[in-house]
Amino acid sequence: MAFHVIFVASGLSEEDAARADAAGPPYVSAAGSYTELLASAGFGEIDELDLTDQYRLTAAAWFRESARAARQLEEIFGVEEFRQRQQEREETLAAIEGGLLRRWLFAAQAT
Amino acid sequence: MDDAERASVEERNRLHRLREAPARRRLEQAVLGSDYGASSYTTLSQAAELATRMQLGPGVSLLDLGAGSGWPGLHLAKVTGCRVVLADQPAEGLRIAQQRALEDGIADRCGIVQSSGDPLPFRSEVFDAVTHTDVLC
Repeated sequence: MAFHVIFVASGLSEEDAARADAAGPPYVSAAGSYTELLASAGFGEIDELDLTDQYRLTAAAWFRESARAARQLEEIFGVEEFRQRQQEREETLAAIEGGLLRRWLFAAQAT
Repeated sequence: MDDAERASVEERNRLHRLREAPARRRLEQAVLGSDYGASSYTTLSQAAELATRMQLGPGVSLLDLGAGSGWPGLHLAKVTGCRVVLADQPAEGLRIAQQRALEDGIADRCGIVQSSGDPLPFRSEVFDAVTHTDVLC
């Protein structure tokens, strides 16, 4: 098994955790670490790779390239939805740069 | 499926349809290097890393959970020769993926299952490898 996951950084203040939740993907957060979850599900040889810096670069690219294609994307999504999406992308990028959101690759073998 | 989940699936169906637009595909190509209608953060090189980690190749059976419209599951099947089953809830994403599998000539190695991840409608030990990208967050 190998997968990418975005998660809220640990040890945040209540305010920063709320900001991370708001800026991250619209999914529920897992309770506990993924390493522990994988181990408890019977997986071994667990390997982790921190991809947060690449996550930052990709988030920045989504914002930058979307801005570059703004007129065409406004025709597809509508002006209001496009602007809202760009605002969300900016907030996500700020949260990554602020150390609030992380993205890792996990790989593990069934045991 | 409750009302909130149904609304979420409908919204994702709507977005899958919009992401078929050529300008949106060009945006994806510029950001991720893919053109499957994706909105994730998995780049082309990160997809290659997944293939390496899971030792994908001919004869290997891969399950892609939350597969959307086929990125990266279909791509992995295309470049490694593995079999893939794509599982997700929004029917539009799966329809787009099915069409893409036909266009890429890999439909005979691609299964499509409309399902949530919980519970999974598969027997135990059916797959050699499982992936999902930014689904469990």
